[in-house]
Amino acid sequence: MSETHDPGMRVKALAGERKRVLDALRGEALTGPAILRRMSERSTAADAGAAGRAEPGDQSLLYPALHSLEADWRLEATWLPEAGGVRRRTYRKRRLVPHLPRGTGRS
Amino acid sequence: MIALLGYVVVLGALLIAAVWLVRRSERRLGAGPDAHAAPTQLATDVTSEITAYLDRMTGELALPAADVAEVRAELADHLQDSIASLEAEGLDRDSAIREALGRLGPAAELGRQLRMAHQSKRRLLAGVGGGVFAGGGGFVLGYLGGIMLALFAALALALATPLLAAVGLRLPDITSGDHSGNAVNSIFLAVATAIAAGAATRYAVRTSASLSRRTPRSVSVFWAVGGGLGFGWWAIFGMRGAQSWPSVAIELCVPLVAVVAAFVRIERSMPHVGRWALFVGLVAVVGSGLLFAVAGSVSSSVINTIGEQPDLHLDSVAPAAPAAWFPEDVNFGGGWGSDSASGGTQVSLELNPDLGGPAIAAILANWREVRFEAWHALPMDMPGLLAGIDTRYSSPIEVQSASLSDTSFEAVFHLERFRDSGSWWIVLTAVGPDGHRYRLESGMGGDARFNGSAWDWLTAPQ
Repeated sequence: MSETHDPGMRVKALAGERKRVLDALRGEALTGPAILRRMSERSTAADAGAAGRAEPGDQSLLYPALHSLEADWRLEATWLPEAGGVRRRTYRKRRLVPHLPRGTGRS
Repeated sequence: MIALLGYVVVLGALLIAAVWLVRRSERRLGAGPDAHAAPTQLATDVTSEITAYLDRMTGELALPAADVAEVRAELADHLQDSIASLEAEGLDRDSAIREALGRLGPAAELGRQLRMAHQSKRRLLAGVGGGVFAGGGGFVLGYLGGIMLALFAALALALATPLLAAVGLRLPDITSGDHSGNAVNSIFLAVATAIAAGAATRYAVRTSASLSRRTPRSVSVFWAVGGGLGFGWWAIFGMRGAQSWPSVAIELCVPLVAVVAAFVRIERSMPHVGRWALFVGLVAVVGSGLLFAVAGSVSSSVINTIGEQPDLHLDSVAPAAPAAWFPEDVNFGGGWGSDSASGGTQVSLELNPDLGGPAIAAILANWREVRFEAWHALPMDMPGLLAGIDTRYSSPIEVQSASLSDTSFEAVFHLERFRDSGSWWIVLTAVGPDGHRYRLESGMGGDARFNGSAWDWLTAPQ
């Protein structure tokens, strides 16, 4: 857990987390836990010691990063239904051109 | 006509956009997430440990209710997922909960981080812009509502007055002596302005809170200051027109109305304004406006029946100039009109130019300190009354030196700046060779209504 009280370090760590979230999100819509899993898969031993990198297992910056990216219009979040009727908050990169509903794209 | 249509279309579009923005904001500030976006089914097996963590976290959020509910639901979902994964890895339930909560970090710190993430500068700017826009729409809506309310109040008062009189209760007549309807019109305007200022401030607070992801209470102080100063300045110094004591009293309360509207029960939702309410409001206001316009034209046609009195009591101002110094065949021509530059009343009297320059110069050589005097006159806006000086007054309302331009005497009066100038009569006087003041010309009469701001009214001479 990256429990630092230094605001400068905190900002740096959040910026790093935002970058990793954007890297993890390609084109698809993912929930917070799914993004976390994608980030874990992508992380390597070399990344672990890099500046601004949160400690392994630390999730304290994931949601601040997701929500700040949404506030900055980099991501869009929607509640999508999954099996069992539970709606889960999913994130995807925001595009200049809105996403077309399935089946309306050009062949 | 096209300009009026364009004005109505633009106003209608502004109203619809503002109401849409406010409705959207109200959903965010409401008790829970948007029904279309919220999770329909949340976790049911959330333990007390998780609940306590989420409570501590949401305690630091200070976000609109819908955002709080969304963040809470999302983190509950995340924790469920995380706990399930840890249990699958072999941890027991309690250890999995502790580990999952530990990975998210201290609840209060997470809440602060999330609050900072939501309350970005971009959203703050959106909140300011949206607040100003919603405030504009709220002002128009409040103004329409205020006029409707004032109309209903006037109707109720008109119905109640005879009933109260029947049981021996007499209401004070605020329109006493107000034949032109100034008092009633000014009260209508002041009530509408006060309600509009309150509605605008409230709309601005709630919309900016929603767009900037803050609680209404945390932004209300800024809008209270802005609304109090802005609407207060407008009501007291900027809004010009007819005034009366009740209307000035209401206008002085406008800053207070804005401040109260920004704070009192600001967490409560705004009343729902539907399409039909807007439509009925617009129709009522336009209809009543037309009704007043028709009534005004009828009453003004009645007023134009003023007779002429043989004796205008002009000697109470000054005796007529002796023929020796001002021959009887010397005539003035001219009249009065509105001075476009200052909004006052311009009077102009021209000596008959046929007399010739030398004759005019010889006549004027007898006179000095030539001036126009505006005196209170008998009411000219009531049918059947005769014109003339109101002899109850011993001094003029206003005196202006007459400036000589070629063969014309001219002056500009500001009778609209007096609270109770009402009907007036302007006479041309001058001091003769014997040192006494005489009347050179009988002058002209008219009717003035106060036209200015509430501050002008307070500081106006009687």
